[in-house]
Amino acid sequence: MTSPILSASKIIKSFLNPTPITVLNEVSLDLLPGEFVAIRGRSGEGKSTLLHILGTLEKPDAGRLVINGMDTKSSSLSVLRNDTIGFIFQAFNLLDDYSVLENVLMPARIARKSTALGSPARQRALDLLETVRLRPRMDFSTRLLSGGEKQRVSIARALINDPKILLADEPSGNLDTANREIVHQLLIEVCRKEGKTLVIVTHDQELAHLADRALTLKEGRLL
Amino acid sequence: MFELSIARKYLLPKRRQLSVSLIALMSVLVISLVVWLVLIFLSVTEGIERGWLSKLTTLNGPLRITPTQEYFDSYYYRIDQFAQNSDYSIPSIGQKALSLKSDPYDPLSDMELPHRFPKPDLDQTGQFIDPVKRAYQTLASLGLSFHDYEIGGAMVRLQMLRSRSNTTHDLQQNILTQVAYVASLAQNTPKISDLMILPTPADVEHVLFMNSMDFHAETETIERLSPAISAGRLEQLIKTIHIDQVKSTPYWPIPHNFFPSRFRSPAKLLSPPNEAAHVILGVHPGEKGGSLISEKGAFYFVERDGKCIPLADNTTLFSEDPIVFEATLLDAPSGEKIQTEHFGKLCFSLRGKLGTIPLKGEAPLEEGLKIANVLASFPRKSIEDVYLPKQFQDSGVLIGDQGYLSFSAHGASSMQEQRIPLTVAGFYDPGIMAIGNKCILASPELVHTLNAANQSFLIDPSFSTGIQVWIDDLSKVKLTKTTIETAFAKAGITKYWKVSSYHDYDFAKDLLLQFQSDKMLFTLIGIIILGVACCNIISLLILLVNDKKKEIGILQAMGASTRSIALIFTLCGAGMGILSSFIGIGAALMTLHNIDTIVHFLSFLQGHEMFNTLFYGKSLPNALSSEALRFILITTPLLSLLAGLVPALKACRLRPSAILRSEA
Repeated sequence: MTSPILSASKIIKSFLNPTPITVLNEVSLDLLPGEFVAIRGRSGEGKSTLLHILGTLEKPDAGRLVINGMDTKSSSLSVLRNDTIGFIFQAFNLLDDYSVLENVLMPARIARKSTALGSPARQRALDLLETVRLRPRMDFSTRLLSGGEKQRVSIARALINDPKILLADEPSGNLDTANREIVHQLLIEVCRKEGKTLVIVTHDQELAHLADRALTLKEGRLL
Repeated sequence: MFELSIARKYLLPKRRQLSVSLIALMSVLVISLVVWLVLIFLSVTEGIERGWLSKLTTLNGPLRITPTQEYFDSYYYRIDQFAQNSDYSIPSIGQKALSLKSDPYDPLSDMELPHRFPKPDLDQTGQFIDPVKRAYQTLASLGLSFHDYEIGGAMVRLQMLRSRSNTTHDLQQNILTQVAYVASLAQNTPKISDLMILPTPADVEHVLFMNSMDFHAETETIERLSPAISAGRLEQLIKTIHIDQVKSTPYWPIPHNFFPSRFRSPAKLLSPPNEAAHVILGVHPGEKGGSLISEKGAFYFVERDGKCIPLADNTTLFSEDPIVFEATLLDAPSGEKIQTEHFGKLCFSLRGKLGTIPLKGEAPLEEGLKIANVLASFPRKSIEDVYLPKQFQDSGVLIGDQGYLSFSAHGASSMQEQRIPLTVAGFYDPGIMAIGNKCILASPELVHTLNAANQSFLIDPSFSTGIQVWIDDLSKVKLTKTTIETAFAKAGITKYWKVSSYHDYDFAKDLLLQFQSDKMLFTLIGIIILGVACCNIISLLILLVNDKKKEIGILQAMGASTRSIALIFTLCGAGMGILSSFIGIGAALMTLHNIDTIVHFLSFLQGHEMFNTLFYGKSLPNALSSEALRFILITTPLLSLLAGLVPALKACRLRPSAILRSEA
C-alpha cells in the first residue's frame, strides 16, 4: 500500500473571537501521492485554516502533521514549505515589484538555486511559463496582468521547486467563468502530468466532482 | 543571496512609496551629516594635535634624559669647581662628554677638597663612573640621534630702531623689555626648519636697513657704520636674499622711460596753478577724464571733446594704485662688488603693467618702491643670533633688531649686571606651550655662558640641562624610553638619569591629557549623535515592515525562513549606514580639501577671524584622519545594523497565515 505524502491526525485549532471557537476539531486526513482532493464547506467553517495548517503556515493547537515522512514538529518548516509544498491563493499573492519571470523564480532563489541565464531553475521557469501560456509576458510587471494571468503565474510559481504537494485556496474565487475554467483545467492537467498531490479548497461543485476525493468540512470535522 | 537583492529592492526609492522613500532619504542625510561632522572635527583636532606635538617634540625632543639630584650631588658633577683642568667652572653636559678626563681633579696642583666632599663613584671593577660619557656611549650604541641642551633665564631688552622711510635720516627708537627663558638650539636639531617662520618683506627691509647700524650693548647706543663696512656687509647679506617682486607706493611718480614709445591710456589731468602738470593714469567709473597718449617720446593729454594738450617734459605721471613689478637686482651680479652701502640705493630691473600698458625700466628701492615678495634665510652666523617666538612679531619686533640679554652675576664684591648682545635672526612657532612665548632659542655657547654665570634662576637644576633624544616615529617613544632605561641600567648609570617621554613633560602633560579628554568626549558625543541618527533607521524600517507585510507573508509561504526575513531588514539598516558613511566621507573629503576657502568665507560672514591663528595656525589641517575614518567605518554600519535588528525582530515575528488571510 502506498504511504501518504501528507498525514494529519487529530488536528485541533481554536481562535479567540472573543470567546474560544474551535474551528478544527480532531481533523484527520491522509493524502496519497498524485491524489487530487477537494475540500468544500461553507464560509467560516475553517477550510483555509485547515489548508494553512497542512501547508505549515499555521500551527495547530494539537494534533500531528507528517509531510513527506517528516514530522512538522521536528523539521524546519521553511525548508519543508520551500521544497515540498506549493501554494496557490485566491488573491494570487504575487510580488508586485517583480516581473512575471522573477515571481516564478522567487522560490528557487529562496532555495539558493542559481537563477542565472541557462540555469536549470531558469529553464524550468521558462517551461512552466510556456505551460501556463505566459512566456511572451515573462518580462511584464505582474501589475499589468489580468486576474486569470496572475493566477497562472502563481501556478507556475507554485511548481518551480517541483513540490510534491500543491495547496490551492479557492484558486478561482476571484476569476470570471472563462478564466475559472482555464485555471482549473491547467491546474488539474499539470498536477496529473507531474504527479503532484493537489488539495483544493473550493465552493465550486463542478471542480469538486473532478477530484479523486471530495471532502466537506462541517462544524470542525472533515466528512 | 536573495536577502540582499530583496533588501536592495526595498531601499531603492519608488514613486509609489513616496513617504518611505522620503524618510529613508532623510535618515541617510542625517547620518551622513553626523558622519561628516565627526570626521571633520576629529580630522581637524587630530591634525592640530599632530602639529602641536610636532612643535613640542621638535623643540624639546620626544625624549629627554635629565640629570637626577644624585648626579648633581655626585663627585663627578661637583669636582669641576675645584679642578684647574675645568677652569673651576661647571661645564655643560656636552662639554663633559667631550672632555678628555672624566676626573679633572689633580690632588697635586688643585686645592684640597672640603671635609665632607662626596667620594668618586666606582663600578664593580673599580673603574671611575663617568655618567655622561657612559650615557653618550649607550645612546650611540642604540643608534639614537641626541644632543645636550641647556635652559637659562635672563632679561631680554631689544632696541627697535625704525626708519620712517627708506632714507635713514628719519629714525625712531622703541625699547622692548621682557623676562625670558633662553634655550639652547643645536645646529643639527631635526625638523627645526619646520618651525621657523619665513622672513617677511618688512623683515628683509629691516635687515637691509640695520646692515649699516651697529648696536653697543654696554652703552645701549646705535652707531652708523662706515660706508665701506656697510657696503661689505650688504654684499654678504644680499647673497642670502632673493627679491623677486617690488611694489610701488601709491602715487608713485612713474619714470617716463618706463613707458613704451606708443600707448594710450585713460587719465586725469591736474594742473595746479604755477606748477608743472600732473597726470594720474586710470579713471575710476563716474570720474571725468581724458586720455594720455605717447607718440615718439612726447606725451599728450586728449580731453573728452578731442582737444589735444602737449605735456611738458617735467610732467609727473602717477598711478593712484600700487604697481607690482617683477624685479631683478642689478647691483649684485655674482662675483661683483656692490657699489653702495645703503640698501635703498640697490637698483632693480623692473617689469610690470599698468592696466594694459607694459612698464619696463630700472629704479632703486629708495625711489618709492617697497619689497613685495622675497625669499630669504638668515642662518645663524654668530653666537649672538637668537630666534624669538612668533609672539614677539606682534610687538613689532623685526628680524635684524638688536639688543642684549641682561642677567646678574657674582662680581668681586657684589652681584653685577652682565649683558650679552644679541641680534634677532628669525622667529619660530613655539606651539601652545605655556612657556613657549617666553622662550628664546640661542646658541648653546650663549646659554652656557648665561648658566655658568647665573645658576640661581631655577630651583630645580634638572630643568636647566639634559640630553634630548630624537626619534622619527612618535609611536615608538615609550618603547625607546624603556630601551634606554634598560641600557642605562646595564651601564650602571640609572641613578644619575631620569628618562622622560613627551607625555611626562610637566609643561605639556596637562595639555596632552586635555586633548585626549576632548577627543574622547567628542567621540562619545559622536557615538550618541550617530545612535540618535540611527534611530531614524528604526522608525523607517518599522514603517517598511508594515508596508511590506504582505510580501513578508508571501515570502514565508514560499519558504523564506524567519532568519532570512530578519536578515533582509538588518541588511536594509546596514546598507543605509554604509551608504550614509560613504556620502559623509565624500562630503568630509571635499570639505577638508576646501577648508581654507570655507574658513575664509565663514570669517568673512563673521566679520573677524573664525579661528585664532596663534592657537590653530595659519590654516586648519586638511588631512582626513585615518583613525576617525576607521571609527566611522566601524561605528556607523554597526549602529545601523543594530538599528536594523529591531524592525527585523518585528518582521520575523509576523505570522504568515494571519497576513495572507487579512490580505486576501
